Amino acid sequence: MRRKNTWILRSVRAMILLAAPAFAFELFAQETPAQSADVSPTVASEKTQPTETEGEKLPSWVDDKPTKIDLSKVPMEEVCVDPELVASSCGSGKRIVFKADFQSVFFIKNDEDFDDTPPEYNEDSQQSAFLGTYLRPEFSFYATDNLKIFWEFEIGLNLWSRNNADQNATGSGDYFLFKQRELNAQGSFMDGLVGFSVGYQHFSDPTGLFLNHWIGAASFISKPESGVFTLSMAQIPDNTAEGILTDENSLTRDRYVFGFRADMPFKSGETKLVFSPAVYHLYDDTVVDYSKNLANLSLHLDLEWRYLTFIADLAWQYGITSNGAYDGGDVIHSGYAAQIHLGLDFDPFLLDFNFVNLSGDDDHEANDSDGAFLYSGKNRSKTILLSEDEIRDRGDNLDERMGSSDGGFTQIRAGYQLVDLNVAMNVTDYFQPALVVGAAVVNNDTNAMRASFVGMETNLNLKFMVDDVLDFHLVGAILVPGKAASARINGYDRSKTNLMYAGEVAMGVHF
Amino acid sequence: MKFGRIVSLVLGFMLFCVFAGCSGDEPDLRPDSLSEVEPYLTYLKDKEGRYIYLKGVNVGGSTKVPYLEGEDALEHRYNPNRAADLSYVGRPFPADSADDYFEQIRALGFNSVRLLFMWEAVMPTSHDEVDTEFLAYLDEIIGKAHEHGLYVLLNVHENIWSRHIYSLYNEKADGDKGDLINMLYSLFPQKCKESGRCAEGADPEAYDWEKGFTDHVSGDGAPMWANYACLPHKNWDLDNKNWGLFRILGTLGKDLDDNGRPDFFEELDLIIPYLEGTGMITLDDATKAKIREMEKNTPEPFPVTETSDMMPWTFWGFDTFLSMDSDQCYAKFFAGDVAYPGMVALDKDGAPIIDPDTGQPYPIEEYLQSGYERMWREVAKVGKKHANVIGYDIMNEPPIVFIVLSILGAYFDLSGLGLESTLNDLMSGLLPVDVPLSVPDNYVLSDDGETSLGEYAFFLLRFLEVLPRDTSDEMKAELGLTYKDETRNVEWSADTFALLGLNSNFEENHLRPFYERLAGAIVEEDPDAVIWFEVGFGLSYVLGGEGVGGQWVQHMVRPTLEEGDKERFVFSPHWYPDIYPHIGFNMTPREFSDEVYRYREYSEKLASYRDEAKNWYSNIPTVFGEFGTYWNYNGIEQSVADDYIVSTEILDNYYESYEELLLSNMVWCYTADNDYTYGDWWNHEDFSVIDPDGRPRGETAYSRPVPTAISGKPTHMHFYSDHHYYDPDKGEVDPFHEFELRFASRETREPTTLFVPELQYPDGFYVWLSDGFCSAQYFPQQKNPEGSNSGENRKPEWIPGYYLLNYYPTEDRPEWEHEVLIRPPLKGQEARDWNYFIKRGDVLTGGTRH
Repeated sequence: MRRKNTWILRSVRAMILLAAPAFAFELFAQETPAQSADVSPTVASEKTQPTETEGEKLPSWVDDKPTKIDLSKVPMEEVCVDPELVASSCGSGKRIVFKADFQSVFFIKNDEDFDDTPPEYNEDSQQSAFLGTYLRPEFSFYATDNLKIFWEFEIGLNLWSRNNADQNATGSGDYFLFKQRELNAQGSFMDGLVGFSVGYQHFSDPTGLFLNHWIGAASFISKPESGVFTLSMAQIPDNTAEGILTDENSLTRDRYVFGFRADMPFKSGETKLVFSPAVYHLYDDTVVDYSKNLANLSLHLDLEWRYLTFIADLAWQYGITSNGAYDGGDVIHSGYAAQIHLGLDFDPFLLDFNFVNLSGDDDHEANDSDGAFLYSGKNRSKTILLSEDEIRDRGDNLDERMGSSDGGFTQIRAGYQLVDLNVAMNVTDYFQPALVVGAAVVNNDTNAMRASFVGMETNLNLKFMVDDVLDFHLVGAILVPGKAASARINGYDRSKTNLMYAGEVAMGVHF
Repeated sequence: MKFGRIVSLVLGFMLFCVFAGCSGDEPDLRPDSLSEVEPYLTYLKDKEGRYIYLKGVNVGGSTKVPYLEGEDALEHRYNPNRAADLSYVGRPFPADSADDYFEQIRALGFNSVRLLFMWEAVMPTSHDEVDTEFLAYLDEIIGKAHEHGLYVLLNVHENIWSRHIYSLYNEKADGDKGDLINMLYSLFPQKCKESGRCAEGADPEAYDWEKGFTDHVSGDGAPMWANYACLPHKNWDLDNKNWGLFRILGTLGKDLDDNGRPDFFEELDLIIPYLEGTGMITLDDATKAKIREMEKNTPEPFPVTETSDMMPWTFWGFDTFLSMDSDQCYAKFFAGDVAYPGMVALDKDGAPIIDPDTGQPYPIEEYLQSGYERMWREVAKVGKKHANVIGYDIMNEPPIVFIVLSILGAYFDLSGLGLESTLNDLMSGLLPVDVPLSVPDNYVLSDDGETSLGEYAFFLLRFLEVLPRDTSDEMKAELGLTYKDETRNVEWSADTFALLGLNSNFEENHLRPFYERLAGAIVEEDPDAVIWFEVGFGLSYVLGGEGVGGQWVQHMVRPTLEEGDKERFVFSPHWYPDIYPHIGFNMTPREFSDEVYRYREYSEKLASYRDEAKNWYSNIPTVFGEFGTYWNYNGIEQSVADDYIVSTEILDNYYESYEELLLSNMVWCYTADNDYTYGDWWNHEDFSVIDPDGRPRGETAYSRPVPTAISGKPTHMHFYSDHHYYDPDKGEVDPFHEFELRFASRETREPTTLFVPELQYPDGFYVWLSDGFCSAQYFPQQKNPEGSNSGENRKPEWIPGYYLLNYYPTEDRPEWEHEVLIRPPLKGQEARDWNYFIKRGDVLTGGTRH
């Protein structure tokens, strides 16, 4: 599970996806009141909830969640593995807090594209499927109550068909995968007025549409009464192979992000609002002679009123890539992204409406203008084929496949508009079915072989929950593709628009 | 902050975002101008540091003859020397049609042209005068080529010295083409009733000696004034009705016994019955009647000075070595000082031409070479103005074999040693049988009173003057080996030993100094000039192979102007496989099945030419200046019916090898006025890559993806056309129409430019890149509604669609190898991870950028 923009949805209890308990516990672990230094304003589109530290007054609208935990009695150096245990016995000061997500997932699709023409040697057939497992542990090493080291990594996803525990040859492709996600130090001092987060971490702009990456970053964080203000410098891994030796590395061919972000909460009566403006500068000099300077202005608005949640995300980019045009001239980037999310919580019904629009380029590739938005690949949509599947990201979501990747970003030259509606129902405490209907089109059909319609997806997600630590998802999805998708995705016949069927079964353990 | 303000801010920003998107210009990948190209080690590079790969075409085949249209062009076929005031303005095509033709050339995938012109075109009338109209035309044509993104290699073309040296023949002669009898008959013209060109009241059965021939085999290149100088013993009068007749026709009518009947036919009356009696031959009545008809129509005897020493070989190349006129002109041009000591240039009237610098008559070598040099200087002044001129190709296929000429000289000069009688004895010994035939007394060499068949044959050869009729000074003068004009005090004689010496090390002794002289002159006019030179048309061409221990290979070392001028020169060999017509006159095109050439591989042969540059010419760049194929195998009708498959296979073989060897090349040829009957209007060659209707033919072989400028050193290139031979592998899709270019780490930020023909990718194509990015521009097919490839409004009927791609490699590591891979959608192969899919004006992007 990735901490992406869906956190905020989970936090308003509208999510239907996995790991709600883990999320809750993470809030608990990272944002413990009073002594905790945990501030994660940079987490992807997280609804930044300034937490109450000792002597610090919480904004009036902030309710009493997450649960306040008295850690004073917990013995130092004790590993806390259970929220309740932590609540009761984990103390303050030096300690380790642990949590984990485990998932085994089965996924199957009838085809990777919408063209049933079989390859001459059809080894894998048209079908796309796997069985796999991963474990994602998280550790918080508290040196003091306001200083900790956070470590998150992921083992897997290992496919059952490939995993071989006896395999020693790491080049064989069937060894245990180990991915380091986060390794950073977080501190908060002077009642939160001075804080930092330094290291490899998840880093996001307020919208999550531009930056939503695991990258190395250093942030200065200040949390006065009026909100949380973060000044950051980050370095995005580049494509160049500079090796790992210091004498083979420099800071001259790297990709940097510099930014300032503010998260300002407001409350009036029953209305709660967080307004998060941010500005970032992306400097990409990974390609010799083709440096990119790009400014991104993001606005995020999160409004809650009783059973209603409204979120607006806007991002505008402007920049220059030197020498990147067909004639060796500079390329002017000017792109935007907009997202509107509406959530309704009429218990037992949960409704989510989302619309996201990513600007496309003009009709001409590699001319002096590039209007395609540099996109993180993540948005708030509940679809699992037209956008990222939050149960398990497989990288086969159409929004990313419709584009090309450039330095950790996706650019869709045709642009992308995706609208979807999710209707979920808490039938019992253990069963929550959800139906999602979404459709996508491109903005500039010239860049999609003169076709606009990307596709329409319907999926049914049956979620079973056991005590917040165990859940199951049973998902079925169907995608009616459009010509725009077939033009971009199909391996052979771009005119075919065969239906795509997908099924997914996932078991998750979270604690 | 009020909620309303925040919401207003957000909404306002949203509107700003939507409208702030910008739209740029449509890329125009056709360069505004081409930068100069110069040799760099064994490569060609432009000013931006890119490696230039030339895929060019010779323009054009018909440039060898003056610009004529319609009836004038036909008239020129049978009456070439009598049309005065001809011009080459309009060759290769009129300037007002140049845009269409150059665009078609570009659209077919050629990035350069070898622009031919004639010495005669620049200096048609005099050693001292240039045709300014032609130079202006040349200037305009070069400029138009530039506008269409075409590099231009300027080449002074010539074959067999001059178009004024020719041999008429009759393609409509009786008999089947290829037969010996038909070859013989083809030397005689049509009857008046057949040609329809005789004067009113003429006997319809009479031979039309003036206009009864249908075509001629000729040389091309040198102007008439050069002919006057190098062949002063000839009667160059335009009203000389015998000019162009096969020289033996001048001897058929000889009546030495003065009995009113041509001696030759009297001899036939004797020998035919004899040979029939021996069973060696059997002539039917029609043949015998034809012989009678010939006797009746035999022209008045005339000496060889009345016509050109030339034979109408269908493969004209034989005349390069067998025509005494051509040989003598080249010998005087290159080596007149040694081979013809004392010879001076004479004008048409036989008066010596005075060199204004010395006040003395021009030595013949200096006169001819200085005229040639002047021509190049004038052209270099034009070329200097154009950055797209990539070089000056000094001379086309210079002949460097003078075996027959030197034997002829020896025949005279060694006669005192008994050479003539030795030949007689030799032939008599070879054919010792006695024949009861009558031979004029002065031809009998043996003294035994008997005449052997060998002696008789020797007699006939001399009687017909295939061999000199005798070794007298008169005969020698008739053949141009000596000259004497006592009134003008002009006298010279060929040096037989010097002529023999020309056959050894000619390139080093004579060709290299000539190249260096011309290169120096051109560089004086155009300091940035690059000099292209060709290997001599030498013994290895005549005899094949390299001889024993390479004795037939007579290469010079690289020409030199000054120290460190290696970057001045490009080696430009030519090579054709065995495609020319068989030996003979009036021969049909060769016959091949489409399988004959399908599996041939030319790489080894082409590599051997490239290696000549390594071995002899300091490893300078090699660009094949000529190669190609006839398009009329099995007859033009059959060839058309077969969609030119044989020719197409041949060209595909070439291009596959060029790509394998990364060799630049220029195909022969593009003839705007190609004709189904007369081909390229010169010696019935039919090499044009477009047909008479202006439509490409065989384009599936030659219209292929090709780079022009490459950002790094090329290491690999291939394209698999429809004609590529596949050895299939289980489960792997044959990569039809796959193009791959690889090159070493980029040396410049300038892009690699690629041409991609639509005809190879009608369904679009994928592009995979190792790194970097591409831009593409589509040029749709153009139909010319007024298109007609004949008449005054000659224009190509259609211009194919194509793409231009600019590939910017971005990876900057020294050992990196950049790659561009292009494939069409292939059934059974799912295309994945591509960077672009391009179909006409639409571009899909995928993969990873940069």
